[in-house]
Amino acid sequence: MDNYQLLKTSILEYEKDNALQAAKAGISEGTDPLKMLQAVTEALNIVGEGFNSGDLFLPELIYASDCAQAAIKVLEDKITADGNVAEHKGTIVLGTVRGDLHDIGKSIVAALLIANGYKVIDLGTDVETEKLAAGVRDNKADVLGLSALLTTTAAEMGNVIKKLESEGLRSSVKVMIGGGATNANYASHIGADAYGETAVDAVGIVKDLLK
Amino acid sequence: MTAKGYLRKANPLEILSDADVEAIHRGALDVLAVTGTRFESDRALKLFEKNGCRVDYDLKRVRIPSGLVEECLRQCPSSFFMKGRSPKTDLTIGGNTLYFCPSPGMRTIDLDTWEQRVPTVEENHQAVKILDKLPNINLAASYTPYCELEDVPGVMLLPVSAWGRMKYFSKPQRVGSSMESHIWEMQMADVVGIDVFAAMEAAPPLTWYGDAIDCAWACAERGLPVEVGCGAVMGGTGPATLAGALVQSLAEMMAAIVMVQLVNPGTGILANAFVFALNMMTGSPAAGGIEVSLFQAAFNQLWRGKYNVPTMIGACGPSSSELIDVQLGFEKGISASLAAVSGASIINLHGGIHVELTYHPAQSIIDDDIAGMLGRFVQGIEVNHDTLALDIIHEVGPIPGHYLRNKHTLTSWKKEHFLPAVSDRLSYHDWIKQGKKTILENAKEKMESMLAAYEADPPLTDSQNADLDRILEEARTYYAKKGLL
Repeated sequence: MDNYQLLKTSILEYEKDNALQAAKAGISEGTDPLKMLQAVTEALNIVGEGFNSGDLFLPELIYASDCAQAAIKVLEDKITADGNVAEHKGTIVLGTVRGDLHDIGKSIVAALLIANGYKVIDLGTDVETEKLAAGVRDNKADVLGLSALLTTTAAEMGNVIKKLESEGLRSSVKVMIGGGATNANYASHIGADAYGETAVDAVGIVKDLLK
Repeated sequence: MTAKGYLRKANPLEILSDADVEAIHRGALDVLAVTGTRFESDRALKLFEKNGCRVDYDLKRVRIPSGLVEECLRQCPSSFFMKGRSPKTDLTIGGNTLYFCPSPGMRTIDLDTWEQRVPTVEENHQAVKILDKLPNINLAASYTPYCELEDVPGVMLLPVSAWGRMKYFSKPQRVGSSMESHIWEMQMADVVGIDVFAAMEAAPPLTWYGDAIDCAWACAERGLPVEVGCGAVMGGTGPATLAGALVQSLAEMMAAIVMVQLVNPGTGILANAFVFALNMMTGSPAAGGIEVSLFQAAFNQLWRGKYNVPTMIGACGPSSSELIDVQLGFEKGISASLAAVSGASIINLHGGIHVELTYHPAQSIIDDDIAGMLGRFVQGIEVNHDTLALDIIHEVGPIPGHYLRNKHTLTSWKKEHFLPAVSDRLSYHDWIKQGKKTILENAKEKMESMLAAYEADPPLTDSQNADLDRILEEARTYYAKKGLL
């Protein structure tokens, strides 16, 4: 099996170390990293379709996207070093806001976006407002996705949007929110561009926002 | 894909004390020795007499000494093998394995109007095909799925029913015991290469009809297992008290077991419970009542625990509800759950709706989810280094740690968590978006897709099909000669 196939198979078999190794081997053997990236996309398409049809589930989706992320990191570093740019449908920065440690919903959103061909920078949980704004700026994010499960932390989302405005970033990035403490009314109240009720909604929302 | 049954890990629920078990056992022996049972078969009466029983030929009554009863109970094997059409459908009934079996209905039911009607032979084939492919169906009883078919005379029902199952059902089966239908059914089983077992079901109180005796005798002679069933309606054909109904049922069944073991010592026995309370409002059996579960739990304890004989728990399939609704769901769910945790070897669950009057394949698909859940439950909790997950717990730690991203979750969740086929598991949001579908609508869709995808596995050869048709025709000729057609 060549490294292209090996990379694809490793992701589909949830073998993170093998995926990473195949990506590295591909690079060291001189395979075009842009082509290797295509193997990742093919694998993720299969996983995404499997999840949508009910044949695969959250653990498979999340773990496959983690395997893919590990390989993507290595391949993109090489692409950048070669002076090229990897193409994405868009760049999405995600984070759970300050004071809130809930990770699962946001991780599912991240996995689904990755599986659908978006570049995702997941800043994690309990992310400071400043760090979220910096994440948008540094990555030239097309969309910022904010998550909050607690009513007490949802208020932070409004602060993040204000921060984006004061930093002059708001016009260049769309903001979507989600999580148990939020709803569509709250999204419009704080000036977010979109609200997603479920993780699966996020893919359609991002697609609409980037039309 | 067919499950090989569910291996029970936890100790079964015991509802009777040791003293209760002993008292019921003694009570049954007392009934057999003092009042005895009625056997409407001269050859059975002669066999009993030859083996030291007191026989009254005028009353067709046999009184059996306790020593003979206990000796014959000891001859029953704790498990027996049944061959399916391929190794993946073979069964070993007994021990700690739980299997599932369909529950019959006379007729089908319209899923919109809830009106019953006689199904066609083709509808019977469809219902059989669904059962063949349901992962938790391991065997079939005679009279399943339907016990009445359009344009099929009553005397031909069992041969036609068996003919349909032999064509479209790849798993072991029970033969019927009416009008010598077992003759044709055993021949058909030989054609397709499966094992069958006899149905010997009592006519309570304390009576055995010739049909049941003949069927059991024929199977026992051939070394095939015999299902010995009780069927009292508590307050009608059996005592109203649970303990009394147990005593009478045990006495009936023990008498049958003595006969079977005298015909062929060591014959496999399957103890079948089909006992209801009498519905004192209508005079019909009160299906779905909790006393059914009390009876069945004690029945499991007695047969599995005291006599080491596998059990078939038959009264979980029907409900008193006329339609597929909440009452049907909780009555079937509760009785099947209690049968499973009290140690049943087989539960007759799938498809039955109203007190053996109605059946529908969509219900059999829903029941397969119940069977899967119970199967998962009796398998219990596996405790070992990997499942204790100490390393993983240390690794993940407190919030914001979580387990969804961990490979341990990926590799273990499907083994540990049961995934239903048609029970709704959508988020509320998605459920609205996808048209607010009920479990019944999911089951109807699944039924259509299963029928469209159906392929016999393994397929019958042309000569097997021709032999089945020939045997059915011979049955028709036989009954016509007897003036029954």
